[in-house]
Amino acid sequence: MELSDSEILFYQESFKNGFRVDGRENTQLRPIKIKHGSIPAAWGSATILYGDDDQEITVSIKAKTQIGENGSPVFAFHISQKSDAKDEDKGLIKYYVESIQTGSSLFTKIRAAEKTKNLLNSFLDKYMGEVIDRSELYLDQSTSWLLNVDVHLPGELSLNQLQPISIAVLAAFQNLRFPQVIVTQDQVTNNVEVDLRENIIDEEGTDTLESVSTSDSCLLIQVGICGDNIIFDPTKEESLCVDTSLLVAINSKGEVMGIEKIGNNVGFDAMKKAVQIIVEKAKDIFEFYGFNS
Amino acid sequence: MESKIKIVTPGDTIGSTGKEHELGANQDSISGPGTYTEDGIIYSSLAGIVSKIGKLIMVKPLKKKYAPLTGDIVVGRVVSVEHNRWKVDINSYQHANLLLTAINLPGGEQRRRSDEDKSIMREYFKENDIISAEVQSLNSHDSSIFLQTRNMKYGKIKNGFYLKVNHNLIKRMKNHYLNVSVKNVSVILGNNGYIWIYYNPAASKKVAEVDMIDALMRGEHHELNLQEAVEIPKEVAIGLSKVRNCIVVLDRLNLPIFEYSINKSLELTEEVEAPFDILVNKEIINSIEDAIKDYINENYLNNFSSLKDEGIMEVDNDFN
Repeated sequence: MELSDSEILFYQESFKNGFRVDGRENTQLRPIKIKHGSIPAAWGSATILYGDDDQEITVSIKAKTQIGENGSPVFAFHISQKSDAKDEDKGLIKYYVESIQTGSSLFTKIRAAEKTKNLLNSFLDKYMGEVIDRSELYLDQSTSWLLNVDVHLPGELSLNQLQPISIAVLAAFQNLRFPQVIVTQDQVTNNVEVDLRENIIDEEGTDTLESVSTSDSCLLIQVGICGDNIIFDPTKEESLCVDTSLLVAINSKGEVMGIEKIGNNVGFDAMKKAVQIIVEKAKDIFEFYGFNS
Repeated sequence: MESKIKIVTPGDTIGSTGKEHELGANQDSISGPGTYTEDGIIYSSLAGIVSKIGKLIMVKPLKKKYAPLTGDIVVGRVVSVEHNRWKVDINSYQHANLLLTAINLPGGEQRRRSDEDKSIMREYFKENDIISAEVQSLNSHDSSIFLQTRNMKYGKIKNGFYLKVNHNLIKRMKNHYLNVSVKNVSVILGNNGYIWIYYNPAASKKVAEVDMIDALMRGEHHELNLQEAVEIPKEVAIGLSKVRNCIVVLDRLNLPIFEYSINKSLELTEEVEAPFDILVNKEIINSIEDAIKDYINENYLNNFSSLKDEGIMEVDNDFN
């Protein structure tokens, strides 16, 4: 989608006035509706609705399962190797983005969307790979959970969706519950065996499922830079009218975990100003979306 | 005889063809578009409204792609510039054609188009330009859509922004160029679901149409036809965003978008200081919904004939 010259001028004038087309100020965010646990079969899930037309993003988290020889499920685990000392004793998180544009249907599949999907996957792996402290996923005997995170977008794919995707991912991790397991190693064969605790619900009727802390989790905040104006949460049309977009991975304490530029080159002063505003507003942003630390 | 609207879903039984292997005049009913027959029973293949004309039963879908009719006013975006025509996206089953011979030349010149005109087509409209136009004709063989802008109110439009809504919510009306109750704000409601909301300084002034034509013939830009980019005052910007947000709310609530519904929504949101609140405040949204639904109930649903005249929905013969 592209805009005409007069539309671009109109949007840029609205940025200068500090009053956008939908009535928001430049640093104002759009509210998002979040529903936790939207997929009961997943260990953690969330669905969000955002934008004027309530676009939907669904995220589900599960450790990959396979059926073992004796018919019982076997969870896929990450066994850290001696060579990757940095990631020793830490679990793995893998992201898979899908939409109707990249699905199997011949009627809706669009080849160009594969490139966008791969970009989204790479950004998520890079910046949301540490959405939680992965050492919490460690079990025992060099064995830890491998979490597969499926991100489903029914509509069109675009890089503008990274901010709402990160919100959905964080909401799903807040909803995450996984069973406690016992890890043993056979002294003779050195094989690692993992078994579920027998009673997921204990004698008092409470579940023994574990959750992870999301207090240090990060969100991806997208801002547009148009001259001296910093535009938070730009719409699809506004993204076409800014000089460049910045994607900033930040946690609720205001610690920046990464910055990515999407679009044309931007001067250091403009980038510094944008990041400073995001850092100052980090706590407010997390509270706005309901992620209180 | 009271007309009934019957809404069906795929697989619903809606009639029968009578005895098996009977055709033509011996059949009770004939299966039409949106239906299929199995063992003499007619089923619906769509979610829609049942319509019966004589023996022919059909189901008209509730949601369908915009199908233009001659005379429709559309807002479209130029997609490509070709040899002697433009391709325009109008949210339909195919892009529409705007021929070089179907546009107004600057100054209102009436002459044959030359090769020079063909070489400077981008000076008239280029890619991504937004235009308003009228559907001139539909080709009976391949359903190609032809537009025309041979009227001073059609052509390239500026000083505003575009919004896409469900085209089923926009009725076919006498006037699609509305001056809403907010000062200096006008709206073009395209039958295709594309809406243009723009700053129109002349909206609050009454200018005789003959003055506009005179100015156009002299090659001058008349105020009403002045579509150069202008600086927009803040109070107008607030008005533009209020109109936009009211239309977005009407779209979300699946309520018809026409002059009354837009002006009523603006009246109910007059006291709202921050236009963005219109989108998020449930009280405001509920009040708009109640007001518009009451209006429709009072003025339309008790009288099906006016419903049909207004083009909101077509109700044919009874179906029992």
